[in-house]
Amino acid sequence: MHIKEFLSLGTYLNINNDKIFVIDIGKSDNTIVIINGYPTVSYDYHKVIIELAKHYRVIIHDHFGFGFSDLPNSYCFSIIDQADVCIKVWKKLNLKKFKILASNYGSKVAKELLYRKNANLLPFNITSLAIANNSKKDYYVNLNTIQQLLENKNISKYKELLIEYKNRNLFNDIEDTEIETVNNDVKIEKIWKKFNQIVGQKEVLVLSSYNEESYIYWHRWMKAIKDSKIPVKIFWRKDDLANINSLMLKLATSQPKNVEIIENKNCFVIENEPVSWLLMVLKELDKTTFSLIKNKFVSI
Amino acid sequence: MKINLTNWENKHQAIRINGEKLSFIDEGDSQEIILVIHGFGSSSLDYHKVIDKLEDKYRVIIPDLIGFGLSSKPKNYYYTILEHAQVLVDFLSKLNIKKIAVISHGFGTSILSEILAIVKDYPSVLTIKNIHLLNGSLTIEQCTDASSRKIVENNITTNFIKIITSFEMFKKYFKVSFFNNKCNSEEQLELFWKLQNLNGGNEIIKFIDYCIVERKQMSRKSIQTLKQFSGQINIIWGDGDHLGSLKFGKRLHEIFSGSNLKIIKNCGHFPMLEKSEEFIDAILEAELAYI
Repeated sequence: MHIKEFLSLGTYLNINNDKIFVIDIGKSDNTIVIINGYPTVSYDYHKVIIELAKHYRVIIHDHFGFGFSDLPNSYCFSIIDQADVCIKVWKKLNLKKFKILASNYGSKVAKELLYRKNANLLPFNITSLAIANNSKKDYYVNLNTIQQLLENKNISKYKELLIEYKNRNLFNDIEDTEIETVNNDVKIEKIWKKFNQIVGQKEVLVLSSYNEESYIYWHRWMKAIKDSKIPVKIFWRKDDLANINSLMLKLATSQPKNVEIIENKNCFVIENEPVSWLLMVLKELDKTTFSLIKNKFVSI
Repeated sequence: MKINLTNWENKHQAIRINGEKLSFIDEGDSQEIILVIHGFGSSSLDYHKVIDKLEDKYRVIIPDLIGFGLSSKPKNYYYTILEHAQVLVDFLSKLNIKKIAVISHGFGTSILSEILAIVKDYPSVLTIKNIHLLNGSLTIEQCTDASSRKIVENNITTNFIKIITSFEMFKKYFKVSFFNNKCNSEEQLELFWKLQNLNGGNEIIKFIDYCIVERKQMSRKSIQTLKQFSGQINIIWGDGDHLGSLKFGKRLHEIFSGSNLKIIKNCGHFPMLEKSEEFIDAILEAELAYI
């Protein structure tokens, strides 16, 4: 599917005065919401979305700062903020009852939402949650600025500068001679120029708080999974080291009730084997749809 | 009456929220309700000198935040600002309280601004009339350049690490927060230490660096939410606070237009402990002016 065709499937919603790209497709009563996220964008689902829409109402949006959505006028947009945006989008679409399929950055957003669900803070009936790290992009993403930003220790200094620069607007009307602003401003201009020269700089800003949030909210999100009252399915692959290290070990030792850990044995990822990947997920999520779709692909 | 752990415990009630025990003080029969949110590492005990005076005019509600004081202390778990705020909103709705004034200290102010963010969309759940911000409010959030932030952060973390090592160290470094370091008796200090260390509470204080990162992370949101607050803001600041100097208090006064700043002279980080009478006056004066 060409990118233009894909864009025509969706619309733009106005959230907090910024535009967010949303696809709401399919007429079924059975709804599935896909929360994606860096390094994937909604477009990565273009090969499966039409097929999926024959059986489900499919909702997918690009988070602020990613894909076709706007970057809000803020150097830092946190995972917690993204979760708030999700709720606003779903309220606008008038969703009531749905499954969630989350991946990568989106899985953190989904965990935050799961926490709120456990605390009865959500006006939706979420029936199940599947978390899959569906992208292999982290292998070549090494060449990308964003991965550098996440891995480079010096870069956190830049990030702080940027956030501080933005926050300073809050104090605009105050002249504080004690603070050396001059040096920083020059630095910031330079960094900002550099970022602007490289494609994908939008994400840099949004992702800049990712590392810190991952550990501040680690306990909160672990608790969300452990206390979950809805089925949670987590897919893992042998080649996805980050996931094994952190989440899986912890879960394996505590064995929570509603959590099921499933191995993605063939290491399917969405960019290489979109259909196989989808079938693998559906097999766990929804057996009936799985058999319907499976037959279709086999007959082709 | 002399204060000790038993009679302090008797003053408290408890309620279960989100699977944890929340211990709180709820005294006074007035229709006017005032909620007090204490800072990181403290507890409701900070206010023991002022409760009696406050409850003449108000129904005073002082919860021990989860992880502090007499409330339960989750093991290996950092209770985030988001969670504290949610717990307090749930707590108030369980007590069927709809309208409050708030006093908040340090870390408590960050929680307060998250509460404001939660109830902004649901005014029927809770209305906050006016708020009193004490020392330490939004100090980390206000540092917009790395060097001054580092100084504040270092000050705070080293102090917290020292006060959890032993009672002697606690005595030595807890005093640093005061202008007049003899204002607390030996028994009082011992009670503070006991409460802090109850059920492994010292372990929780080690999460101070998480707390700083989270406050930094949320700084923009915190300040903006408070800026948009429609009620009255009253800032009460002891001028001898070396953890968060008067500069921060003055700055808040400038950012929040229409706010009121009351400076308490010769007073450290805990005005309610060190200058309890002036503290009460500052609260009551402001509350009277807002009627």
